[in-house]
Amino acid sequence: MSRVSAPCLLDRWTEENNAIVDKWKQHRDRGDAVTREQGLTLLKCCYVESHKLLQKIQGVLAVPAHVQLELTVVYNCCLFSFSQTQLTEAEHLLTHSLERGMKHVHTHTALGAVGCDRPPPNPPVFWCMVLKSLGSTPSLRSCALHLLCLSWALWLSTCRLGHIQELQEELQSLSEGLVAVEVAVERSAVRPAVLVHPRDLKDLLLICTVIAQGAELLCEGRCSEALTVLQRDPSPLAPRELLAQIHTLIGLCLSRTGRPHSAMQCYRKALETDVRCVCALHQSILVYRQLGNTQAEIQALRLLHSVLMMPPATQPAVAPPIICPASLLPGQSLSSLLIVPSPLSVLHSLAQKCVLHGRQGVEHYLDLLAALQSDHQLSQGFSEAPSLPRLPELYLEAGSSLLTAQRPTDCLALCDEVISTTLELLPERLLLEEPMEASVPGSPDKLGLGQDRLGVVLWSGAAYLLQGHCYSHLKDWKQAVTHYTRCINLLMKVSVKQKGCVKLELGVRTLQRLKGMALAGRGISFTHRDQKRESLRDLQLSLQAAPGNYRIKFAGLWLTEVLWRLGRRQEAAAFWEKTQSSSTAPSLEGVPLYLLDPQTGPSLDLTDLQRRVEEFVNAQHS
Amino acid sequence: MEARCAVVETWAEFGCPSPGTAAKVIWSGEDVLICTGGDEVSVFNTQELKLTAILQFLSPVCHMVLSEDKQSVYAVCESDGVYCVSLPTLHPKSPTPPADQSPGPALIKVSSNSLAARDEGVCSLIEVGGSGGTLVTVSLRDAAWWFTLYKAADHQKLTQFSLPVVSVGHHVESEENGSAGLVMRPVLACVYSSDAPPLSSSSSSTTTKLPRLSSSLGIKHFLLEPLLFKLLFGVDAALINSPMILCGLPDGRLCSLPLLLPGRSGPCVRVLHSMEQPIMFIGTTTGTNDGPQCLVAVGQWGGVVLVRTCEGGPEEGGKVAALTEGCVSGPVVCVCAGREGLYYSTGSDLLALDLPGVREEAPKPEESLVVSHGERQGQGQAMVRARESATLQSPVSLNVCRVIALAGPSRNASGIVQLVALSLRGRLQRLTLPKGTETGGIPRLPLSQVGQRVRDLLAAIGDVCERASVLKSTIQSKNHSLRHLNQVLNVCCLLLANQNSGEQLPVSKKPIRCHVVAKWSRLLQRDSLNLTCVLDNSSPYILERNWTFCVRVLPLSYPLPAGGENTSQTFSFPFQKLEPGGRMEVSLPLTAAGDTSFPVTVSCSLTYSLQSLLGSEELSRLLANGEPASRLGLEGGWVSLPLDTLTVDWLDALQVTGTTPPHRDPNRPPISPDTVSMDIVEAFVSTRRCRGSGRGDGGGGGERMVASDGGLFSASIKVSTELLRRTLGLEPPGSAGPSQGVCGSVLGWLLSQGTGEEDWRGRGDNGGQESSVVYARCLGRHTVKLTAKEVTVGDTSDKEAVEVRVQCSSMAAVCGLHHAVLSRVQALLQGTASTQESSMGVQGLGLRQALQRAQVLSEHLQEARIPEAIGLGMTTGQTTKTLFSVYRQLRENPLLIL
Repeated sequence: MSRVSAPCLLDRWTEENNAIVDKWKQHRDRGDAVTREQGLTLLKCCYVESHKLLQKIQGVLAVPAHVQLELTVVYNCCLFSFSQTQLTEAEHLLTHSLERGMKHVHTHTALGAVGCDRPPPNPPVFWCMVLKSLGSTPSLRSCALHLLCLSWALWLSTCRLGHIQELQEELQSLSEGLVAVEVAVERSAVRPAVLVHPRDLKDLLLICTVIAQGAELLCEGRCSEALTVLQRDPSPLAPRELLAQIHTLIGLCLSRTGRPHSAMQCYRKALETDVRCVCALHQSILVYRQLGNTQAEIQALRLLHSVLMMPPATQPAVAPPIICPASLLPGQSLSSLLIVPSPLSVLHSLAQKCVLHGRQGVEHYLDLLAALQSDHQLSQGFSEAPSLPRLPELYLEAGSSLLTAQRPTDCLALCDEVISTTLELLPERLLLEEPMEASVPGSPDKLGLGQDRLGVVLWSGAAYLLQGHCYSHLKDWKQAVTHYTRCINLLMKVSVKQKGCVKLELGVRTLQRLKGMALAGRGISFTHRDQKRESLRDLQLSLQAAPGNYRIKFAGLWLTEVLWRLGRRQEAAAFWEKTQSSSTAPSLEGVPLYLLDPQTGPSLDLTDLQRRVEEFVNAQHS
Repeated sequence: MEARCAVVETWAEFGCPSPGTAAKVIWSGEDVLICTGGDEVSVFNTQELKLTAILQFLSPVCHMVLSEDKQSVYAVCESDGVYCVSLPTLHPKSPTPPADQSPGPALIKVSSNSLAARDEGVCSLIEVGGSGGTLVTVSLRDAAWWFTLYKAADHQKLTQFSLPVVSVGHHVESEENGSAGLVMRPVLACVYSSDAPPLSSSSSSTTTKLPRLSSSLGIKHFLLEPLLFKLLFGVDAALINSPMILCGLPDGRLCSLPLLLPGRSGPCVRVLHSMEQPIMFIGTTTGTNDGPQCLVAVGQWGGVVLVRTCEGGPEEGGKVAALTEGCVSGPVVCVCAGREGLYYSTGSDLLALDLPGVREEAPKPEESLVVSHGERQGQGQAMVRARESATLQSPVSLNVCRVIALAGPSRNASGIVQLVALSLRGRLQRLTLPKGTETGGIPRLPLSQVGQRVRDLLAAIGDVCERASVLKSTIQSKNHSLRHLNQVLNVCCLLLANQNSGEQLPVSKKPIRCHVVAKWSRLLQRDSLNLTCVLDNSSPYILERNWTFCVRVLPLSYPLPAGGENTSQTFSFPFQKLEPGGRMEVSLPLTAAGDTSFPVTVSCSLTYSLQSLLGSEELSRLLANGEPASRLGLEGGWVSLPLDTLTVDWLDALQVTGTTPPHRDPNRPPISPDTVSMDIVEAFVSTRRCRGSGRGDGGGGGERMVASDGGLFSASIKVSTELLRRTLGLEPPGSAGPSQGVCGSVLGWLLSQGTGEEDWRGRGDNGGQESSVVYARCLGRHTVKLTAKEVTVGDTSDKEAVEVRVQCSSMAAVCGLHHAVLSRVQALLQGTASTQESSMGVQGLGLRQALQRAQVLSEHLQEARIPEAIGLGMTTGQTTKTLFSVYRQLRENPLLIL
């Protein structure tokens, strides 16, 4: 009975298989006639159908004539599973079918039933066995090679590069094998169709393997080895995005081995290959920054942001390919290498760079704030790159840029928001012990603000300081004094207990700088209110509060001026000398943008002061 | 422990949920979605109380949640991933054939087209922001918890974060715990700062503003106090109003994940706290005193963590987030949050736990609370540490057992809290909680309606109060009436019993008695006779209001009036209140000056008006109702109880002036000229009146005759001395020497009820021994001389007697007094009727004389009557004269009374 029906069944199953494959291929070739959604649905549908077919086939005892069909169906089925990211299912299916096939071959050809009961746990060993047992029959051998490709893909997408390494030779020999098999298979009349030609699959897998291996080596710091792996001659038919990735990775290797200019070349090549290779753009920004080419950096940032803000590449109307490179390259190391900051952080970098280098960064800041307030950012995707500062700091930076852009009222409003948010959280007193003990990562945080306690004070204080700046800009000296005083009072709540002479933490440095700024600001305001004594006191305190490298340069100049006005010309001249002699510019590294010397506000005619002092000194000498 | 019973109403039955699967109930508006662990999700309509749809999934559903806009439901299937089913499709309103009255539940097969995210490892999920928002799933993979964010609209994967698994042994532990071996799932909740504006959905403007209340049914979105939000999740999240995803992991860690915070340095998933037991529930509550919302988490073994804002320590001040740990007895199978507390099921009981609200004081660092109700589990004493203030109250049992899934609560307009529960047997139940389970169970009203509501309530209270007072007064008046009736009946019985049984009861022994004294009083130069009635109440009853003391004065003999009307006068005196033992004295004018014909009968009675049984208010109400008084039987409804009948005669009305003729007193002219003239006029008038009208001439003649008689009219009565002695209890003559006592005593006895006796007695002693004379003024101001003298009657045998003679210028007075004395003696004789016989012979002594006199008189009478009979001749004056003389003859020579 089964004998009679077998050929018939075989044909039907083959037809069924081919029908599924045709359906899929037709859809793929039809182009824009269908939407992506429909494509996905079709894919899902095909996946279900092929599995049903496989179940039917595997429900019958294996017959030699069936094996080839069965394995082909398995191949298609696994590809569909792969497309549905059912990797474990695919793997299970694969192993199971191969075992079945091997068992069948063994029973029929009586080729020594050596240890076929249980597959060895190690896939490479298992594969060696498979190839050995199935390799004798050409038709089966081709099927086995197909499945080996599939297995390769599975290993890649589950980051088991070790297996690939071990089966290097077999994989290398795949191409010849596949060609040979094809010739052999050509002869058979009814041929079960395959979804993706194994040769195409093999090419894709090859380049993906190169990328994965290169990235792995690069992450381990073996740059030269990575370079050799990556610089293997890639197939020119490989997808462009993968080629661009290879170029980028090569660039990374070069830049890490201290060849930034060569790296730049590679990045350019990557961008030429694929315009959407944003990571190459990002990396070139880093190189520009390293090279100190601000101009180029800002331009690149602007470009990067606009690329990132572009709507995602119009998805090809057709369904996604059965196997997309992304699913083959899930490795953490690669994604960490090719990471691109979020659009918001790019925007922030752009804004910050613009403000720091005298460009108008306000609009960028406003764009940034608007983006933050809206919830569009959700759809802009998340990124684990931590490059945005804390939001209050962002607000303060935006505020200071607004002030720079002569928009004090907007700045006042923005600062008000920061103040109102932080107001309730301000501690009565705060004792900091230097050095602060670092919190153990991973352990449950102390409930509440924890590390933010100092931050809250600093943000609130800086907001008051900026408001003071705004009022001095508006020449409302009374309000300015009020706000500077608020800032100072707030900062007085923090007491720092210093243990030993260690380098001060950033927070404490910021605190000192802030205190100095506020005192200086109040001193200058007092000068304008003609309260010279208070002014003198505050300016002197300011210089004490922020000593050394963090000293506030304009405070010294104003002190000279006040002394001069008070008639203490001798002291003024002496102080002038001192200010001029310590010519080293204060290092403002790590100092937040909003704590830099204000660009606006009361100005001092330095040349006039200098002339007066010098005249006085000359008169003295003479 | 306080226990209350919730009312359980079974709606439907589903199959027993298979052990090891999580049963789930979602209550959203009219629909309840039930998942018992199979591949079907049932939709039950609470209005029609029937299954409306069954969603059939391809594989068993192990978890489901509602989207924030309640438009779709997400179900996690074991082998597929997350399905998203739109809820409105479950209610095909129009296509339902109207002919089919009771269509069975629609079976909706959920195809793989509805698959939103293919991830076999998804354990739990939550959706934020409706269709334009984000879907967050948590799955366990590769020894890490993966938080994956999808776009809710097209289920496009956005990003994912991971958190390494700390201990994998918790599954084993939970199985040891034996609580049905449930696979623990992470618990997800979304928390907003309560001052944040609602998250607008970016993509579709059609979605309306979402109901963002923690009380909104079915979804796990909560509001948190802004300060606590900032303290817990940082300033950054507060600045951009990011919703926070809170996740309670089975290993006890409570993590937070900001939904809107890109580029934050450090790990996105932050561990806030570790409860060290699988977390069953995360939510917010305002606590009992309606404070700001605080965060609460409940662990499987009964741990309760409450995160609230409170004052910081003395070192830093400010505000800090404080964590209070408490414990209730586990295992906690399922929890749902009410406004002020939690409802949780331990499998054996459903309990309500009120959570405390804000606390002001700083937390002690080592503080933690343990509250348990050990007696339920028979483990003995509750472990309460000494220093813990009872911040966690002990839970209130609602006495519902075997609840494995809870949904709700909802609170209807009248403030009744309802839950929907799924029992271990698969019964879908509605639990109606007793009022006040959630303390202060007043329904939340918008502020604008509060005033109106208060007014309504006050009005209702007023109504009830009014009704109560009306009822109270009705009852009071009924009681009052009954008491009155009882009292009336008592008095009636008392008096009627006296009348029936003891007619001869002496006056002094009657429980309610009265006696009458006539007294002269002089007012405005006029003497008037007043009758003073004294009522003694020696009964045990109070004579209250509505009783009336009636005195009826009826002349014994009166001239036939012209109109034939009764000349009796009735005086009534209402009682105020006569206590037992009290007495009431009333006085009534008997006559101004002799215009009353004496003697008069005075009948005293007590009357009670039945009308007064009803209170005046009730009466007026009845009358106002249109009931005529006659229908009520009130008209003429009187109870009248006779007390006593007394006679006031001429003797009583005498005014004793002394033992000597008054005119001999030089100091006091007895009859002043005007008085005399007055007397004469009055006498004239009165005589005329007495004689009747229409006989004016004759009357005048008679009077003249009296006057012209020149002397006094007199009448006498002879009474045996022996009789008097016996009856009056006087001493025999020989025993105590002088026997003056007899005459004096007789006069004294006669006048004892009159006025002025004391005067008389004082002087009487000085009087003659053999005779006593008393002068008195009688009615009509005539002077009367009363003489008592011992005489001997009979010719042969000495028969001592006392002759009482009445002399007066007025014939009427003589008649009246004579009658009075006679009636007294009669009464005396009645009392001694059966005394021993005296010598009968004596009586014969005067009989002959008497007969003779009578014969003569009879002839006189005949003579007088003949002319009248034959109708001729004699004037009326003559007739009267004749009759008068006959009368006088009769009075002059009395028989001796023995």
